[in-house]
Amino acid sequence: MLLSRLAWAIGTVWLAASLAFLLIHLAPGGPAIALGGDSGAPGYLEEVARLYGLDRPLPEIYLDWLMRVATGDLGHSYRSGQSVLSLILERLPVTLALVAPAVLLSAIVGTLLGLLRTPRGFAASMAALHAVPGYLVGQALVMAFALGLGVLPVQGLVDGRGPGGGGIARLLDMARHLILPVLALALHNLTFVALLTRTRVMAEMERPYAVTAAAKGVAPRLVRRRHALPNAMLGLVSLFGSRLGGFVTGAVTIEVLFALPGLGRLAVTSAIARDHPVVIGLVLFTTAFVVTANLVVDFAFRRLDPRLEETA
Amino acid sequence: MKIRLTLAIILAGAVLSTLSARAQVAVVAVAGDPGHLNPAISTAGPLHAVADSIFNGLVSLDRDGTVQPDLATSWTVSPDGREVRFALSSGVKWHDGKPFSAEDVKFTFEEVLFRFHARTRAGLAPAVASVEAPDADTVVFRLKRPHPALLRQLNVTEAPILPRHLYAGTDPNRNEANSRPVGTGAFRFESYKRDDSVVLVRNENYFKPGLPKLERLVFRVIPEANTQVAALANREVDYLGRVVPSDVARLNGKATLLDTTSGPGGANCVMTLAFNLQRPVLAALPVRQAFAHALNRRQMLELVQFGQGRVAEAPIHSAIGWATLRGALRAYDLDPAKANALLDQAGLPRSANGERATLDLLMFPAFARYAELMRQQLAAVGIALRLKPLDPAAFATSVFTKRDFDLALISYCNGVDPEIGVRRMYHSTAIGNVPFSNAAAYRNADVDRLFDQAGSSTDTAARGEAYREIERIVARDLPYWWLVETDFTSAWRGDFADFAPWSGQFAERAFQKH
Repeated sequence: MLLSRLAWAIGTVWLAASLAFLLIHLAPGGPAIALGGDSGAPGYLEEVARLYGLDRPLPEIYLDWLMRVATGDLGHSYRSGQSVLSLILERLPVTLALVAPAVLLSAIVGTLLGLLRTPRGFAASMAALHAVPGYLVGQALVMAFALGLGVLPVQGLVDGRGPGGGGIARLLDMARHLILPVLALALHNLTFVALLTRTRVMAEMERPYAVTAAAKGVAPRLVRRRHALPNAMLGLVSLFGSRLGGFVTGAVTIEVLFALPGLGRLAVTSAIARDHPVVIGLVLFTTAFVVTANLVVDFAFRRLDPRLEETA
Repeated sequence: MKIRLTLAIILAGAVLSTLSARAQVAVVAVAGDPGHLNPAISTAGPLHAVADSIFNGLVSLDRDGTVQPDLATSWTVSPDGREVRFALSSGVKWHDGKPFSAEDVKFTFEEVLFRFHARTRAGLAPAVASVEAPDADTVVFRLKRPHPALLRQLNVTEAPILPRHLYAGTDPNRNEANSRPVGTGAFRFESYKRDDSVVLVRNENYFKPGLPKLERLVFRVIPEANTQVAALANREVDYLGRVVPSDVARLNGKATLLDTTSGPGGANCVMTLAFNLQRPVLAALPVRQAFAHALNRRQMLELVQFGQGRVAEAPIHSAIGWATLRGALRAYDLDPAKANALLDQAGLPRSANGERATLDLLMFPAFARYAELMRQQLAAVGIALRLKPLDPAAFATSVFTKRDFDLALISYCNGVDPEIGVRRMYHSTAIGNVPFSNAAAYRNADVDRLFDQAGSSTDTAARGEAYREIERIVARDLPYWWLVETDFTSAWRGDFADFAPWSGQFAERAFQKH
């Protein structure tokens, strides 16, 4: 069971990375233009292609790449010469600091909102909010908070004028800078969780056990929380797990909008610069991350619902 | 409890940021990550926006393009125009304390600039026979022919001087100093975090007395134009090198100073429509004339540039006053009826659905509004455009390598001398696999001859006459249609003064008031 799951996971990562490899190599334009600026001299493009071994046939480049990846070597950036793995690990904390609070926020607040006895129009307004892309939500937040109230910063991870250094002051500064981006990223998913919780709980409330509980005189609030929610949770966890990838892709636009130096920004700058090793390395890394997260959710799900363990 | 904690965090942060705002610090927004900080091997914009403050050229250019001393204090040109001798400022030190000398200049030109700086390699190297360093304070350029544009190609953007002691015997593309640069400039490198920020600090031993005045110059990489403007309004950023035209009105009158120039280093850019003359439809002159009569350039200036610029009056930018031919394009008034007649005459009748032809228009995504407007304007005369926005790498490959396009929208920057940025658009030797060269694939022996003549004369009046003759010819042949001269607008907060947005060394004299 575990082994076949693992084989699937590795296959998925290989497929995604190979697709990324193909796409970036087939995209018109090479790294030379990004490296040399606007107007290269004759022969310059060919020179750069030779330098990075891009003048060889594609299958040869692919096999070369595959051999190296198999040994855990993601290669080096054309632009900076830095190893791809170190580039990714350098940016990972920023993306995690953005994504982790957003995931928690949307899971917890979303569930709570879904459980509330809500006024008419709640579902419709949640659905409307959900339809707004995170990018626009971000713009609106910037307008309201930063320009309207002048309280929160609109870009970056730390204050540009700050003295630098570490300590608690720096952490507080980072937290201040992350409030708006986390909200912008969370809102889209929070509304989704709220809607889903609501419909799931409502469905459970009509099932015989809930009706029985209500008939026995259990308060509706408690029927929701104690009986309907745990059952509804099962579906919620698996659906939420399948959306983790969405947080990662959502982070790309949020990082661009709020000028945060995370993995998403790395992906965008590298794609524009045709920095092939970095782009492919990022796809490999994020696919591995999402696939792993899904595996974990899968197993958590089995623990939550013993019935699945038997049928598997 | 939770709310109180959040409030405390916000307050603490706000107090901290006001406390630290008192020093002479300027935060500058740049749109892209510089990648590395060696301005001698690249012409990329974000890189120069940052690195030009760390280095010097032999000369600098002031606002109207006049040549001023930088590392060179004075210069003399020999009577035959083939030898230019520079006296260098003495006592200049690199940021690591080593002395600067003429050997650094010779090395940088011969080993780095002439090999790797795209514009200097293409525009200056062919004219230079040798660069000599007879003594530590003298540099001599020996030229193959008189090259009148020389001085204007020696500022920090076109020819930054690198330290020989760190680059000699290495591959300049892979030298570690590229990410920890050592220059002679007003600011010393302190730190670089990719996609985030570059911090420079005041060079206490700068060779220009009393400069710079700022203690720290912090560059923040902010890719979104909207976020840049919000950050300026929110006092997180003090200087925007480039404000997109639609935001200029938003910033006006908000304790923000706006300055409009024709671009950093006298870029003098003209938004230009290139016709691929190798496509049969566009090889017909009446078709190109029809474009000129059908396109409403005033509307482009107003709706896309928000008035930041001028409708092009000549093939050469109006800021190069001695070479531009005012009124060269007067014959092409806005006249859709005439355009229709020309297209009929060219054998492109309207089909049943009213269309005469469908053409591809390639452009950078940033120019999409021009393209949209052109699509509407050309639809009126029966020409349908298929818009193909491409990122720079893909655009350059499609247009200049594969030549797989009908029309291309290109911002051609003329520079301060037609030799720098105009020649490459028309000379037949500039057709081929070189980005932003002769996109039209235009060939005219007379034009080639006039360019060669103008490029090797020192007599400005004679050069100007040759360029005007070229403009008469190309205005008739129409390998391109010149749309709008685009101005660049910079903005900074009202408590700063003396920024120089036309120069790579824009912050050399800047300071914070009170």
